[in-house]
Amino acid sequence: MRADAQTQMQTQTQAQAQAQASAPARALGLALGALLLLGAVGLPWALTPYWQHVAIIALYYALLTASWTLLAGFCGQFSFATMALAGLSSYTSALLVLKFGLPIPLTIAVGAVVAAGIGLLIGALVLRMSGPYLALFTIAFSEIVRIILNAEYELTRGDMGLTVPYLFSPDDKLAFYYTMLGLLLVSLALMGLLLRSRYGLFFRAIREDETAAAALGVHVVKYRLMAFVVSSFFAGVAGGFFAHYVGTITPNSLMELSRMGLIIAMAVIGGIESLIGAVIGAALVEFLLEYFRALGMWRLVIFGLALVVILRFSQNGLIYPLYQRLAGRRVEVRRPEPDEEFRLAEAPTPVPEEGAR
Amino acid sequence: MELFWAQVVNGLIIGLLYALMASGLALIFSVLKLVNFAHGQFYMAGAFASYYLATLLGVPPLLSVLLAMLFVFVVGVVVHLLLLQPLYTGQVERKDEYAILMTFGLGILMQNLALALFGPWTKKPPDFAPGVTTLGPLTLDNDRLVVAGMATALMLGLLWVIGRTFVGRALQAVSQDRDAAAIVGINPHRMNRLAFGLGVGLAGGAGALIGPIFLVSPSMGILPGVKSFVIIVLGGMGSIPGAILGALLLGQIESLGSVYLLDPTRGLAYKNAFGVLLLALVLLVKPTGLFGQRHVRME
Amino acid sequence: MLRRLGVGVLALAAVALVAMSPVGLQGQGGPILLGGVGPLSEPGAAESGAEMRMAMELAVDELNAQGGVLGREVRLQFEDTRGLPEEGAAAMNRLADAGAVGVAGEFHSAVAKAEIEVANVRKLPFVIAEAWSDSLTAAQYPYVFRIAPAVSLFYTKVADWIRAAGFKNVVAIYELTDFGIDVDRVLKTELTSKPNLYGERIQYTSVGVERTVPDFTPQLLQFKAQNPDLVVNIVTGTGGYLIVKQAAEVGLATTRSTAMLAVSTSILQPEFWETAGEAGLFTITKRGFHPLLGATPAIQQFQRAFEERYGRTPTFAAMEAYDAIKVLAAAIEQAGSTDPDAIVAALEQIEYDGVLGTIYFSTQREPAYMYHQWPGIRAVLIQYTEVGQKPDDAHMIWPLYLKP
Repeated sequence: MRADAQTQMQTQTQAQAQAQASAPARALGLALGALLLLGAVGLPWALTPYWQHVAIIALYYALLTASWTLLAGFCGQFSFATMALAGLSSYTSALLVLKFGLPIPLTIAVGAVVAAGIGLLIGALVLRMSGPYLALFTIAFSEIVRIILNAEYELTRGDMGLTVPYLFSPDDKLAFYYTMLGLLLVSLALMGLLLRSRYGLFFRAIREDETAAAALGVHVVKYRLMAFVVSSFFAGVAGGFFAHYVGTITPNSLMELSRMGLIIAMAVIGGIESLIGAVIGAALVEFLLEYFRALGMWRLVIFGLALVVILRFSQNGLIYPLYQRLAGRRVEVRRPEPDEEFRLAEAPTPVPEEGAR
Repeated sequence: MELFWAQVVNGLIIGLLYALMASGLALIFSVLKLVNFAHGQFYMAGAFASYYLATLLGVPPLLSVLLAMLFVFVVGVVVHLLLLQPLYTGQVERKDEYAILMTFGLGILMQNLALALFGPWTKKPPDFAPGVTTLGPLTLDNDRLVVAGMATALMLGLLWVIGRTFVGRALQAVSQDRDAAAIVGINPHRMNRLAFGLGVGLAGGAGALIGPIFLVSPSMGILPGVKSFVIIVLGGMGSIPGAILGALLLGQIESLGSVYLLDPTRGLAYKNAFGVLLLALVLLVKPTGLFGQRHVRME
Repeated sequence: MLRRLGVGVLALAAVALVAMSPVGLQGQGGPILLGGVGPLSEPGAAESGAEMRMAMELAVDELNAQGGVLGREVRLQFEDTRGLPEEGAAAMNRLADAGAVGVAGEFHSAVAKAEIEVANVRKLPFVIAEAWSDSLTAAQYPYVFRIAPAVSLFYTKVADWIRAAGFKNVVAIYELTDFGIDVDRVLKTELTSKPNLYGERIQYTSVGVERTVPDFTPQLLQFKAQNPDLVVNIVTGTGGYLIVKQAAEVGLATTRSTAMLAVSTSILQPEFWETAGEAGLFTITKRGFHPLLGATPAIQQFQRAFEERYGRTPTFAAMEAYDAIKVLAAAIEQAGSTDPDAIVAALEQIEYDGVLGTIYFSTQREPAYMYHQWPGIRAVLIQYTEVGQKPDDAHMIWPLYLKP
């Protein structure tokens, strides 16, 4: 009975799907991954400084999008606070350097920890909420952060922009690029490990059906908080790095609500159930937006339209589901049939040490 | 004391506009059980429609407001048909997620579209009634008086439609129990479309009314959108009278708060934060809202 | 199927990469590329940015009509910086990649601050047109020059007027930006440290606002209770218009006892009347020049050409942008090359008769903001006496000795 229930849960997860994938498909995945990695490492040598800058920004968005995907796509927690948390980390890191002269790598780490702490707080505050309530609360939170950072200009210099010391010399784009690439790869590896562990399963179970997951003995509170903390931490890493790359930060440029829209568009285009998809989506959108600069505002219209159309016809996004289909491992993320649900609910606690205490 | 009353009156006028917009959002939530995250953008659409009707076609200002509402209503019905109907025909898993992402994405699309079509420039629609009226110690802008009157009339109209007409009762029936309503012969899809169209139409009306006072631009909807979220949470999500009360409350809090609550040199900088701060507090302390019902989720 | 798709994607990527790679930079003898930067979309002050671009295009066309610079055609590439610092930095990098030999423009100080960093790193001579913050020239970067006055340079003169006109109860509403905070700081020090004409202490109260707030009524009502004799409106763009309008609506200013001084450049644009209407009557605003200060042929010619081409009267920002392009071109001509260091050397020597006057750049380093700053700016205050009036027809109230 117990093993049965676990199998049920696992059929709903991508992690399991990949384990079941056929050998050629897996080889294809590995080959594509290696190609992507090689491309990412070699890319800046073929670019002008300006396009190197675009590439760095793309990596920054990639990390933000991946962290949002972890929370939304895997755990079903639709938070709009990712940019606000990244921005808070930017300001924390910048102010620590400016006021106390701490070394930059340390301040980025502190910024990320602060973001994680605030993420934990938000997670704890919104525990009783779900769906639209959570979205409303996080939008409100983002607005408050933006307004406070604007108004407290003695500290933050508000809309004037806080001048932040650079991590490297500002013309050394390669150093920034490889640092951000390294941060992204390490973050992806850590998030990937987490999602492939049984915690990932619990996240998915919560997304699919919170009540059923709880009935199954998944400690919903604990894993929701964990997802908030992890996601906020990596958003914080991205934000901290960004501050010391661009050199001037303003609350509006970090936290406009439309930036959050951009992150979501990137995630949806990449496929909201895959970290790699999120990264590809972010890089693709950022490069295309720059490439079609001549179209002016219309390129944003096109991406908005793409977002809506993709959502309408494929709720889980574009690139990753497409890849799944091409690679012949289309795994429907499906709701359990009624009788399955019955069995799920009936099943005893599968992992007792994870049960509510 | 004179200052106090001046603030109260100003807050009341702003509150009435908030009420118009938020009651639309509440109507949508009560029938469709979703939060329309693009509400602010429908408000913007109404303002632009009214602006172009008045300036390009020379429609009289008040008539252009009504026509703009009609336009936004039609847009809302189409949007519902194309994008939201699947929620209610069993084509969508995880409905909450779909509704949030879809309406948010729609908002982003509408805003960017407005930016591309109309440019970033702020536009000034013609005044409803130029000049000011002096009432004892108070000086009031005629435009604001007209707007307050229109908003009140539209809201009373809405309450009458919901409470006293057949359509209104049908909407209420769907809001309370979709299946039971279907059994007695009410087509819930039609009611959905109607509710969404009416709801965004009210937002469009609020935008069209505010245009001459706060000017029209593609980004004008963001803050009012956030504020109407605040209001419907205050008022208990699906309740229209709750939304109206919440809106009047928020109007007063913003008007009085930016003068009395904080050090006055800071007040205006924090004005937009009062509402969201209140929202955060209410969600934490009493998530069902000040006048509220229980949590409602889409089935 | 998959393989074909892969090949297609790779081919596309290769095409895109070629477009992004550092080949095809400008050779000798081809056109000379000048860069323009400024806000063309929100949250930047798009109206002003658009006008700056118009002026720059006019300047470039005139240069080409006169045979170009160094006998080569001049081209303008104008980049939208959206009022966001990182967009500004990106725009400067884009211009440097495209082979621009000099850049002119910018409106927002916060953005300009990010841009001067890039200008300095990429050795790109940069003539700032309309960003006022002291800090821009105070950074003393060799590649950065400025035509717009530093805030301190200009607003000490405005404060002179407030004292000389005998105001003693001054309230100010300022935007929380570099510009607003700088102006507030200068006015506060200047007005509270010295008495007014009648030897009275001046009371100065100020309030900061977020630019996105459309309703200033609560604060204006609060001001009204203090019975000020002067309201200083330090908000740019539409916010500045709305304050003028709402101040009139609540009966604060302009009234018999209270004047309105609105310092944003946008008050000079025709859009001001569109929004403010009747309420804009008797608003006082500042300009960097006035025909009465010497209607040089250059000004008249520029105004005529601008009005003919765009159907609107150019503002101060447009003149600065125009002069910035022209002074860059003159420096390139004088240097005889497009080498950045030669252009910088020429800019330090230059005396160019522009629309705003004879433009030259100070090389003194004390006070810090004077470095590479054009010090020749005049502060003129005008008062509108009719609805819809053009700035040139408005009544000039300061300096007094040039009263018409």
